[in-house]
Amino acid sequence: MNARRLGLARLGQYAIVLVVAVSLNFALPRLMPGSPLALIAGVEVGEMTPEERAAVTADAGLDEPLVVQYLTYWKSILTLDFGYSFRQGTPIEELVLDRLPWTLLLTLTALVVAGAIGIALGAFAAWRRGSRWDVGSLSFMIALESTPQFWLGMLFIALFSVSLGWLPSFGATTPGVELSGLAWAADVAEHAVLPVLTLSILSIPAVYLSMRYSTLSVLGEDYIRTAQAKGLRPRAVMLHHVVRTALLPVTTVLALRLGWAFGGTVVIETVFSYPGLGRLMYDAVSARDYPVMQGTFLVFTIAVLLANLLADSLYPRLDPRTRV
Amino acid sequence: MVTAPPRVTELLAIRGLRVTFRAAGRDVHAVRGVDLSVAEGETLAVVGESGSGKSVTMTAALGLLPENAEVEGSIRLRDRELLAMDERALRSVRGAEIGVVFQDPMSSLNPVHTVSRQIAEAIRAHSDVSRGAAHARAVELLGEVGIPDAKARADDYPHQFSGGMRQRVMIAMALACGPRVLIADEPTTALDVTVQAQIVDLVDRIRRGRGMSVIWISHDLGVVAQIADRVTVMYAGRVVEQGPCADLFDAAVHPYTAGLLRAMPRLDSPAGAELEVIRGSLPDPEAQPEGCVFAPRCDHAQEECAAARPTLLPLVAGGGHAVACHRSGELLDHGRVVPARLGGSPTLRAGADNPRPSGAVDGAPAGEAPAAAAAPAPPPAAEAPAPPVVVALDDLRVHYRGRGSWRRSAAPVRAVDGVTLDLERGRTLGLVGESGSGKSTLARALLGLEKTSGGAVAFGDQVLHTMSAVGLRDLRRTAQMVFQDPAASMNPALRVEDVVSEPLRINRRGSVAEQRVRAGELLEIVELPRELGRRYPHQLSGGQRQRVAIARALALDPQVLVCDEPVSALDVSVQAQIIRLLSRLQSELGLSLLIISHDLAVIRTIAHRVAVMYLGQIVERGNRDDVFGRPRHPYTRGLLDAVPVPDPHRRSRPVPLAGDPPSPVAPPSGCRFHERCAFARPGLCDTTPPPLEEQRPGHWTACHLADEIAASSTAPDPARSATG
Repeated sequence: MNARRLGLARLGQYAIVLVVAVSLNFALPRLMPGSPLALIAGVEVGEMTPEERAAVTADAGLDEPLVVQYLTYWKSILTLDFGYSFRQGTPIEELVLDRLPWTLLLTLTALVVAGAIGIALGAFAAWRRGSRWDVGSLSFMIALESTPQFWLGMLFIALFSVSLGWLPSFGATTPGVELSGLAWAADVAEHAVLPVLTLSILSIPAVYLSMRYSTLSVLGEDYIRTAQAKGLRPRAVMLHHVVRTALLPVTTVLALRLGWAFGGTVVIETVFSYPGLGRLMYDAVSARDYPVMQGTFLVFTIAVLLANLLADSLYPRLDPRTRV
Repeated sequence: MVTAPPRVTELLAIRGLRVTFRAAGRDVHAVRGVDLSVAEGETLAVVGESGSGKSVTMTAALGLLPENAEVEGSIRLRDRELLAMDERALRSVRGAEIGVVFQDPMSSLNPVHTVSRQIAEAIRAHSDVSRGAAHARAVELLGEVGIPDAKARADDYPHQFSGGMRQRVMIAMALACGPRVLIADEPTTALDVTVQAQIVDLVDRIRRGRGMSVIWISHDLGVVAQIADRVTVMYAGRVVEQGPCADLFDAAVHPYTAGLLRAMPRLDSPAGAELEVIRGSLPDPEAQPEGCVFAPRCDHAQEECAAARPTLLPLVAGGGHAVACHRSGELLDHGRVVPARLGGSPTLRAGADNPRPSGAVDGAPAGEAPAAAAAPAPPPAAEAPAPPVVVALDDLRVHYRGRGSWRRSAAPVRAVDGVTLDLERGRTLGLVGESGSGKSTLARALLGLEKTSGGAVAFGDQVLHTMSAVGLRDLRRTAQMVFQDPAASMNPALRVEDVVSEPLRINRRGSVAEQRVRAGELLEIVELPRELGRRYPHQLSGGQRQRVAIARALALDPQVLVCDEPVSALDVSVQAQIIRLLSRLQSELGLSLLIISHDLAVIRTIAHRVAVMYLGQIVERGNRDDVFGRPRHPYTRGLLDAVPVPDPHRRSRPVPLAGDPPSPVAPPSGCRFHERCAFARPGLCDTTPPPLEEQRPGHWTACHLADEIAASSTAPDPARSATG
């Protein structure tokens, strides 16, 4: 009963955050410099006649008062009608749904890979604190953390695509070829290897560092000494007591990254010319394509909120102290 | 090396144990040669202050020392050498043959697993039983250690239990595999005195029931006297004295043991008796002295003491009482007449044949309390007219908002719920009560650090909550606070002199140079050398840090000093130094002290008046001698009964106060204590709250039945009759 009331209160908080985020989403593109008219019409604003300008503006609904634009915006969101891209004329939801699977293929795979490796390496480093292994892996991870994404991506392209010719360097599928079944899956996998690899490698340090730190603090806890004094095997102490408790803060890190995963990764997708949400967003921003920008931002916002909600509801399951 | 013939029943025997921690080219000698043993079915108490190496010794027996520890010597369990065992063999001993209970049950239990799972895990680590069977056994064990409704509570998590219940869970876990030896490492130090009595009883009952041996590690001589068969006293990594409990308490021979017994505040000493101080502090753990480790602090030290290490020798050939002291023969002759249990006897102090070494020779660093500067302890009950009141609390209430949803707030936590008290000039008020009774909240409210929900705090004619911000700042100068943990209450990045002068800086008093001079003066007031000002807090000992905290509190010449558990984090010998310092400062500076402590003996030593707090309210207050000598409230009696008397001949085990205090969110109706009170009368105590009345002159009690209880109670306890 009490728990349900608390759950409702929390949902209420999320609803408030969502309203604020959607409103910002509406306002931000309109605060940016530059007029979208040029892009819609395909010519510079200065070259248009006032009549032409007015027609284009009215067509896009940009002549209405802001309040009306805002309400229209809400109405369209609630009816899942996100409008059309200024530039391409395609419905937004079509664009987003087209791109989302590709992005998720990259980011979720990378998240799983980086999560597993980061947790394992972080726990191991902490367990062997001060050893050569710990110091070595820690320095390596810090170096990796400061490696630019585009640099590593381009290095991989130069190595695996250009020099060795093992893997394709761009796109999600081989263009101009119709494949089906396993052959298609193999083609997709082949294209995904390099971006996933780059993204995974660069995501490991954050997980590793938080897991290592969290494990170190758990190792100093009195209940670890209790577990040892019970005569448990080191592996049982490590798994049931150390890692189990050390995972708590890392879970939050991972859940939040899950939200970010929906936003795609602008740099990686651009380097590998991958047709994901990140590139859609990048193109929309550089073209001042409001509806597309708002559509992608909205997906991103909702994903982050859902991920937070997930982390919130997951935490009491993992840590009984936070249960009501 | 003990020359006593090894007994056949010897279960766990440690011989010549040395443990050295090697870190960054520095060796810390934690254990410098320890011999001790526990026999089948016996309780051995290992007594020592922090740094004595008692816990390290036991950790070594479990094979749980960190990798940088170097261990020499021998630890035998029956006929097996533990130090020669490989990790696998040691694991089969840990938990199965040796069970352990640690100090803090909250941090020693894993918060994310249910208690039954943690117990079952210990069972399954040593025997091949199913999960179901292990769980069933866990429930049985929980019942055995006195968890009410064990079956239902077995799948609860540690945070859902009270402190005492958690320690019972720890004990159930240690017993899971039927160990031969139970090592209890300060198992009651983190608990209230009432709960401590319950746990002491439980362990002793289980030991007798199972015929198990117990090694009880403690710094509390009271508990030790109540439970131990034999006692081993450790100092700076060595055993200085060991023997049967009664011999040791009756006729302690080693100057350290004797000093410890006299430094300890106790309820059965004559009221107003002075505590003796063991001067100086522990030797540098990195040094490896050739002679006696205690020589630098010893009043009896001679040349040979610093030159050669004394061996632990039985006083009588073949006897059980052994002492590591070159002068044990002479001290024994004198010592036989020392009634150590009455405390305060000067026999073992510097005698004519033993001139006290001058301060320069003893090598002890700062922090030494010159015995000559001893302040008079509080005088007996005041007949003189009451001194003027400095601070008055009138029906003070502090309620915290409870946790509720975002629209409706839950019932408040009534931390302080209608307290009327006053602090008199130049006198000390002691505030006692179990944890959660609201003592600390009361103190913070007095200083204006807590928002009050009702009532008033008045400094003279100034009422706290009506004052402006400027007025409050002025007020804070007149009332200062000393915290329990001096290390946590100081900025580690500041030098000691900056810590002390910080209040001056904040209040812009004088130039930087003047502030520095004043800091030096303040350090001298608290008996620290000025040079210490250049050091950092972490370079000081615990006692020195608490002196620095007091110096800081004195920087603005306050009239009122609030001390929240000022000696709880300190060792017994250092406690006495700080208590004497506070008394001296009071008489020299005319300070009014509010001292909060869970340790009734400390309060009895230092306070003029005492207030007993229960669930946010005062249940009894009066002069020290009235409250301690003729307690009228059943709660006060329960608290006093729960305090272990450091006298093995008086192992009275009165029924300890049962249970834990109820929640301050929904205090019981009527008298808040009635649920735990043996005298409670239905229809009166559970319906009508008793008012705090002056039932005897100057002695206020909130109890309907105080007169009846006083009339019906049996002959007065000798512990009490010693008072006043």
